[in-house]
Amino acid sequence: MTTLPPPSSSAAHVNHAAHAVSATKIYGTGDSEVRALDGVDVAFERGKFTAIMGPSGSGKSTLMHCIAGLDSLTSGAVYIGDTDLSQLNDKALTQLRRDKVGFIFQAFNLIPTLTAEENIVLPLTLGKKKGDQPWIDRVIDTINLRDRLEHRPSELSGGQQQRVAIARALASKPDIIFADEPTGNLDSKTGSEVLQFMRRAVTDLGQTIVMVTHDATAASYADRIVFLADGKVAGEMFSPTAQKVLDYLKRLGE
Amino acid sequence: MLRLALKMTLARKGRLVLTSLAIILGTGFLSGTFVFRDTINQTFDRLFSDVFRDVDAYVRSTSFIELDFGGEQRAGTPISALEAVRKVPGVVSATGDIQAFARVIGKDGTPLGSEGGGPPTFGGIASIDSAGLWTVDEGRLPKGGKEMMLDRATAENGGYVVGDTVRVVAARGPREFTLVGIASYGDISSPGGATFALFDQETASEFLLEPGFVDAFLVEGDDSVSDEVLAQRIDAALADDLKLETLTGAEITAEVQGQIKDVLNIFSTFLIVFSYIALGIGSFVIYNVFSITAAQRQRENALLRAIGASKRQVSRSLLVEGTLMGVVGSLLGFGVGIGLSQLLNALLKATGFEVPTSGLAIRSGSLVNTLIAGVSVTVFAAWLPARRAGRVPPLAALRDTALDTAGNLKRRVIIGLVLVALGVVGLVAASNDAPIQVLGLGVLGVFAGILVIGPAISRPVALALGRPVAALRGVSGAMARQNAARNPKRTSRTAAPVLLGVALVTAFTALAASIRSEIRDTFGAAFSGDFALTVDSQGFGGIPLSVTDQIATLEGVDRATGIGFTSVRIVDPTDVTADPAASMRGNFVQTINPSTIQGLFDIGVTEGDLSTLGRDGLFVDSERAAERGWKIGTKLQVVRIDGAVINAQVRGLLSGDTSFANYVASREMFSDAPTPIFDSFVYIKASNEAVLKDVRARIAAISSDAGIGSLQSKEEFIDDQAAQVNQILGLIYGLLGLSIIIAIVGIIITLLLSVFERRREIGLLRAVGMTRSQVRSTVRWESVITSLLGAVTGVVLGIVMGIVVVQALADGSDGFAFRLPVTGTIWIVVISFVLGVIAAIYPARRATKVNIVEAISTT
Repeated sequence: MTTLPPPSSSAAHVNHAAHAVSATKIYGTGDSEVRALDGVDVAFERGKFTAIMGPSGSGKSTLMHCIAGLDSLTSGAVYIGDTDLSQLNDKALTQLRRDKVGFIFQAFNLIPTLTAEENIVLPLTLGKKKGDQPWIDRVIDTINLRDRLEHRPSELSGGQQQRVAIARALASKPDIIFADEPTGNLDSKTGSEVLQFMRRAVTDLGQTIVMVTHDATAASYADRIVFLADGKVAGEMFSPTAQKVLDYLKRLGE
Repeated sequence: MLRLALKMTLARKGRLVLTSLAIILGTGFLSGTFVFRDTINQTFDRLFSDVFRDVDAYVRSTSFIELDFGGEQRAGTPISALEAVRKVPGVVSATGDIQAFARVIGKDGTPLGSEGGGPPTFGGIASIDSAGLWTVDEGRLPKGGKEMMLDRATAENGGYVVGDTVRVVAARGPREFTLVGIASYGDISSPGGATFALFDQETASEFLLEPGFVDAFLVEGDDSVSDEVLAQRIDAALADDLKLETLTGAEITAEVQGQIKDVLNIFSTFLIVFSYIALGIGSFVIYNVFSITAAQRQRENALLRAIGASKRQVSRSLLVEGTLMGVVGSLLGFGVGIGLSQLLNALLKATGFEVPTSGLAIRSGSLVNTLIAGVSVTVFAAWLPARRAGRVPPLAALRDTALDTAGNLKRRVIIGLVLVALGVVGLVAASNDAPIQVLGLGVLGVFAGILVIGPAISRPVALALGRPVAALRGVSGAMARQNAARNPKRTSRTAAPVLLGVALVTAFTALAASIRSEIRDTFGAAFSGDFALTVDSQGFGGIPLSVTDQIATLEGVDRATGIGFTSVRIVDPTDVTADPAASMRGNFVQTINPSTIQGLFDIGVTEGDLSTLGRDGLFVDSERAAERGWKIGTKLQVVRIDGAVINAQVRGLLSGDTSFANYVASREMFSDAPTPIFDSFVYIKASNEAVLKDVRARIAAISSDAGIGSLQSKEEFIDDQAAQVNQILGLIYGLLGLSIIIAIVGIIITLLLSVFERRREIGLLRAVGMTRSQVRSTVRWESVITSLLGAVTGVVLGIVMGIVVVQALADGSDGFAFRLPVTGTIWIVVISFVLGVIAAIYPARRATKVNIVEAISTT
């Protein structure tokens, strides 16, 4: 096991797409106080596929929400590139999410009233941007959605919906993509298809993905796994396989 | 299950409040009008019991005529009989009472009190006999033909103090008096905002009525005998041929209270009808809310079914919820209504009808009525959604959110079109003299049909209306457009109140525009004079005939003629089927001067010659004559208010287009009547074009000297006649205002529920980069599209209804054609736009407050 070197808090980490410094998130006060994050230091390297794993309540979703600018920390700091998110107001934060961050959620990823194509370019449209059309075409081809562009979400299968979500996350060439249990609602075959597309987005298109999951097989697609337990970083693993992950989790549970 | 239903209801306070809001609004208007009516009735009850407190007997003529619009006009009582009354044992005092037309002219030369719709302007007898109605506040009672007294409010409004010279216009023309006293009526300075000019008995009789007559005697007894016995004694003392009757104090009090109540009831009935319409439109909102919440709870209901609840139990739990909301909403609505009634009171005060208040009258009956109306409307509105909820298959618990479809579109359109067609048939029938109820049914049929079709057309129409929005407002516009179209049923129900209001207003505005231009044409053709002096006195007073004659003799005036109105009874001696109960029913007669009217105003004579009218001739509307089988030469009896019977004859027939009443008689017929007649219009023709300006100035001098009437040129007069249609439009606009308020509340509630339902979607949009202002914009434009959907379909429907009615009315008469109210329509669309923006404010704010993490985390 290797431990993560604490990243320096001030300098811009050119090779880090995002990082957190003593990230702490406390819900409630007094007796009902819950420390969802308890001083987490973590960094996500550019062009890599990182998975965050941990048991329920370990704080993995909270960590993702905070780094992605969806939620705020009680103390500590998170950075996307070298931007300190705590310094941004709601509008700037929204713009940051729109331009620099991509999202893939477990379910309900798409706006039901928009077509697949409209959903894919939604972040661009929201920012009144045209986007890089050759890049978008390449994304659509990579995700293999060309013949489904005019369909509405209700006309797509679960796997297709998640692929549209991946395409949307990629469309604006964000600095980092966050995926929250992207295969949680899919059967294993479709799930592995979706994971392969995510893998290709990193390997072939050079994107950065951070994925929260509790599924060892899903995590095995990542370059690196960060383990969380009780709101703290419990360890990490490079070049994981499903078996290695299961073994590690078993040990972590003991 | 009942306890469970109650628990589930109370667990969602937000929804309870939202649904109740619609009920509160509907019942608020209703109870507000109840309380307002009761308060005013109570006030006048107290006022008149107070006023007649010391009156033990009331002597008046038995000869009277019931007026068309309620109330009655009674013949005068001869003062000569007063002595006989005073001699009756047990009588302490007896005094004359007059309430006749008199107008006080202010110091600036303009009359006090408003002409027309405002409170009446009275002249009367100043008397402080213990039975008299007035108490002197300042100065003393007037004595002789040069002195008068004013009520306190009028004196204060006019800036008059004791010692001033006051100009008053009454039946005998304008006169000047010295103000010697200021009085109060009961405990108040001026009842109902009316003005009072008071004189001694002789002057009042001569100046206001006919010398020797008063309206009635007020008698005070010494209480040695009961009022009933006193009244019998007085009756016995009066000669039979005087045709007088004696009422007890209690009887006259009850009668006056009843008359006032009748008048007030017309007003409050109108308000109550409006309130029921409001409640009806409100029930749409309630129905919509129940439908939406039932759909949103589909999974919850399916779960209940899955674990063993029966269909009935699920339906019943929703009905229980509906009943509970009905009760809570109606109770809150009653509270709101009390506030509204106060607002109405303040509004009346601001428009000059000061109503003395003696505290709010909140009767338990009003509360019960409000509760019954509120709860039944709510339960009724909850019925269908509740049944639908019961039919949810248990498996739906496992599915995702409910789909709202418009059902079988084809069937909808067919049923809807059938209803519309039936409605149109009703409209056409109503325009061809079918009873007014048919019109109501027709309108109902058209509306019901449109509401059935609504969900089938709301999607394409919303998409079409949203196209420019999507083009102009980018992604938030496009999403608003899709959102407005995604629940066709919901959208069409939300737009329904706008549709109803707009359709009614458009139809009536179109109808009014057509009537206006029709009036303009006919009056333009009938009136060949240069000026018109008009007084809008609503059948009470007007231009004294002496003023008309004075104008006719002015230099530069070729001729002048007056037209007035009075009430008589027309009796057909050969008609044995006449209903004796209706025998006192009066008829409106238009009085003219046949020697001057020809060549000045064409009253539409179709048969006969006006020069043959004479003192005992009648010209009758040809339709009326045909109904009764009268023709030229038919002998009729005209019974005047004073009871005089004139043996008259039909001498001609009228088209009815430019005459204002069914009967026309010469003013000579009334020259010896103890109740004076007035002119309402004086038409004037100058001798040549060159003197027009001078003539106008001279007439103006006379009319302002008389303090009465407004002088108009031919064009102004015709415009003014045409504009009278606008008074009815005012009522229709009131209805629009009401439906706007309900529509706004309806849109707010629907948007709030939609925002709640779509919070995951909103969370997702916020996550991928939608700014708060974009979220707001999306909600706002959805609201605008919904509102415009109602407005546009309403305008189309209104125009169609307008065309149908106008076409049906125009049957036979050319020149009466449909006219599109262009500016009115544009205003309606603009108002609907603004309405949409306003309704979206709060829901849009709620939408921006959606917590992203919570929204996307809920699975």
